[in-house]
Amino acid sequence: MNAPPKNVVALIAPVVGRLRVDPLGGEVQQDDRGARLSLADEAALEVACTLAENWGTSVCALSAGGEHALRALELAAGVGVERLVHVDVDERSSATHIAHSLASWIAQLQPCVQLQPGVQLQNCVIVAGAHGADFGSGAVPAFVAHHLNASQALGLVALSATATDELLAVRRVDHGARERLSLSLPAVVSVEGGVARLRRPAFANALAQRTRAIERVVPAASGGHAAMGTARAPRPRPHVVAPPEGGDALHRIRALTGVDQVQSVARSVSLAPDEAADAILDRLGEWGYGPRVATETL
Amino acid sequence: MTKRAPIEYQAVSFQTRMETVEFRVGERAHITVDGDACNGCTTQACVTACPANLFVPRSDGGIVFNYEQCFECGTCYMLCNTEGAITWTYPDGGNGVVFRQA
Repeated sequence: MNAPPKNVVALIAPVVGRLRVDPLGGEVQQDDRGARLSLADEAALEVACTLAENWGTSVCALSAGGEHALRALELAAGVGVERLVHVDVDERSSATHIAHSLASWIAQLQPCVQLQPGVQLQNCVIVAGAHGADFGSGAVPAFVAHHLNASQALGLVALSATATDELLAVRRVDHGARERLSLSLPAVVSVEGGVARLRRPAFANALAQRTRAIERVVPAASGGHAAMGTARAPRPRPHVVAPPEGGDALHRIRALTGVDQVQSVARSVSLAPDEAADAILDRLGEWGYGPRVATETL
Repeated sequence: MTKRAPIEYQAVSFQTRMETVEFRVGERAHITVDGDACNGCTTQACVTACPANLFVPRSDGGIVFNYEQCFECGTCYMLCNTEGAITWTYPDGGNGVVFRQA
């Protein structure tokens, strides 16, 4: 039985060109010449193209924003992405608003031209970069997954597909460890910049990238956003402490407090000044802070 | 996949830890220690066990106790093996330890 066709969507962030700041007025100008996708977005595009080739489907590149999003889609066209969709939304909007606009379009995704009609959303993989060119929060893929009720795995260092059409992902966790994940479709993943290197555009595609047709979508007025809790200061992880030994509470608390071990405790004494000085010098000598100096030599 | 060793707990000095704890001192001493009953004690476990270092041994074998910075943990009462030496109650309402301001 043939596997059901799949959709592969590459979410790419708008490009950021060279910034020039007017030293007198402070006005910021952006020069798009030489602008490029972030390394994470390039890796996402390459991963999406590779998955699409393995599954015999094609990639749809999706970007939200203003003119800089169009430039990002032109760069995607250069590597052979055939379907380019631009969601017209203010780039300065919150991550939840941008994600809602993207998810609204993905939810009504029409099958790509080369696929058979009737492709269901549940066979969809959305690949995004872990960071955009402006190193934002990286939260848009998470909100997109929430709106689509899809599996999500963010910040991946490796991604591959199995024979059973599941995704195998490797993700960083704390202390240099790695975590293996198995994802079922639909899934939203974000990849780091080092995952893959974007293929070189074919010469014909590079020449034609500026003339490729880009679908423009104006999202409807946003409805409900993902509920956000209040931010809290990060709390350190709890330390794992082994339980004390002992059969009952009294033995356990004796073990915890160390009362059965030899302890050096402070003692309160009442002495005359000369006797107190002798006592202090004697104790310092016991602790190894130099020899006891005989009072006759002072 | 190799595992890393767990992070060593960074010990905090006693003074630093006590600076983060607030105490509302009541008028009534909620714990009283009969110093004379402690004269015959050979272990003086309360001195070692008290996390707030409130028990100070005297040179004549008795114990001096100050209730103001008590954590109300009950360890002294559990460990004391001299009947009647420690009278343990909770502070009056609204008083006592207010834990770490962090």
